[in-house]
Amino acid sequence: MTDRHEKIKHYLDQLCSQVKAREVHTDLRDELGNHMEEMMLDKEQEGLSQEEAAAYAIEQMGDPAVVGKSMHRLHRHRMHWGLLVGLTSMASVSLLLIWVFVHYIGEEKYQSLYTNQIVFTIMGLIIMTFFIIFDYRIWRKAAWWIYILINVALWISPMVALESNGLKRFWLLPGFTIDVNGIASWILPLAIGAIMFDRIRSDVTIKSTLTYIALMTLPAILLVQLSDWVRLVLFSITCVLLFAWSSRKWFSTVIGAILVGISAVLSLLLTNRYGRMERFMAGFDLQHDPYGSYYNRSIIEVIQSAGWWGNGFGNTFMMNQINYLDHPAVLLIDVFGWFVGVFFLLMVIWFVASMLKTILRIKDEFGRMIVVSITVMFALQMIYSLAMTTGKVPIISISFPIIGYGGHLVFEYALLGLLLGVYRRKDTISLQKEKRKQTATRVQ
Amino acid sequence: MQVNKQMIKGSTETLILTLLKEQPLYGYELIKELHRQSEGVFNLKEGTLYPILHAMELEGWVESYWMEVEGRKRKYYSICDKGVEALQHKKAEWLLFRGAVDRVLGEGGLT
Repeated sequence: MTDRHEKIKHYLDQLCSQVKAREVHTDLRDELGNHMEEMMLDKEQEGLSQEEAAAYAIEQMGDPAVVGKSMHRLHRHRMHWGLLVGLTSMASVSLLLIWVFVHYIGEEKYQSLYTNQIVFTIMGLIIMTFFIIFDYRIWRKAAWWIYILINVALWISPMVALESNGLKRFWLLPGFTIDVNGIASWILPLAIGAIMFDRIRSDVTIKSTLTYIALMTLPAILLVQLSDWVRLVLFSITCVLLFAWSSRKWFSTVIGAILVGISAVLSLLLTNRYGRMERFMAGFDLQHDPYGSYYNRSIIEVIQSAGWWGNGFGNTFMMNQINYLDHPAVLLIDVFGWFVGVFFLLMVIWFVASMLKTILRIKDEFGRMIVVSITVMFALQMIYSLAMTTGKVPIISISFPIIGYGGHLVFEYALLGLLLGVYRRKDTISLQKEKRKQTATRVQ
Repeated sequence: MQVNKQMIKGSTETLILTLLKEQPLYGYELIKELHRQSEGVFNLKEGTLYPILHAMELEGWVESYWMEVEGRKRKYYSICDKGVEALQHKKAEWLLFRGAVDRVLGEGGLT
């Protein structure tokens, strides 16, 4: 309201000056200002002059500094300390493991890895800080552009990307490499979720479901062309869970997804090119896996030989020919034993659990969607990485988030920053627009 | 007679939740209603009401929504399941407390 009494305006200015989070100022002014005006009207009807009524309203409201301070205590930017503790311990373990590897196990040529990992961690922390401070709601407007950009990147990837292990996944840019498929699998569910959010949240129609599927299908086809099955599966699972969660239609979504998944796998297997059938079946019979069995068996041997207190800084690891970079937790258990391994497991559980708990505390629906999507991606990769550490599941190209070696760290820190940024604003976001929309639909 | 502020402080949340259980209210209405139903005993300062309402909202006890009535933006509060639970708990607490005070003061109380 623009024609507010001068005294009231002044009072509200004084009150708001105590509240540091600016985004709550409008709501506070609207709510308390309206209160004082209604009180003034009542008092004027009782025969007070406008000035007297204003003075009375201000008197009733109490000292603006006191009220402002108590509002500030409620509507502050928050830090998710539990998650930060989890992250700090994971980052420390990551650096410790690389240090152990470089000093006791690795060959001469691996000496630079420790420095690299420190650089990745520092870069990650800087980018994370940026994302914590930056208001996440801006991304909603950019969702279409991000979606298009990443799809174009996937589309031209076969011509641009570097081939490693038969997979075109990395772009080699001057100074650094980008994992385009990895980025696509993390970001695209978020982008699709942001584009479709309003439509699937309020009322799911066949049209909006089909649009969602279409938006999913394009990148899925591009990932199939790149033969990046791992990223395809991660992307699809996250998208499906996000849809089920947003639309609240768990049953039909999961049934539908399972049917599509089975038929996709069957059609791939039946065309059976490039020995896909053998590779797939190997997943169920690790003893005779023509590609991966040696790996799985040596992991099991290392884990069994470690015992409760580990093999120390001996040479077991290299003798068993396990590529440490892909299996940091195996090194941990090899050197420090099962006992420390249990602690490691608890640490990872703590981390995922504090992400899950965040979901319940976020009231802004768009923010909650971001948290759900990021949590699902972290949880999937962490659970599978842990499973690979047991040697009982097929070894695939998933690296341990935050802990494994590599530039993927920077990206994961950025996403955690996005999540912490949502958490930071959980008590300061104005729901004014959203709620009005809801009441408007209710009236209709 | 004026009631000691400290005595009102402990029961404000219970009173607010009880009123909101009847119907959604906005701040000013809530204060007037409290004043009316307590026959003037609870003359709650606005400056104390809003921090309590906002704290209860963050706690998930009440929900708020904005509505424009006669050109005025009003923020209505309505009670949630968690708030109903909290109210039940607070009521039980109050009954226990009241019973104990009554017993100490003696039947009928002191005059």
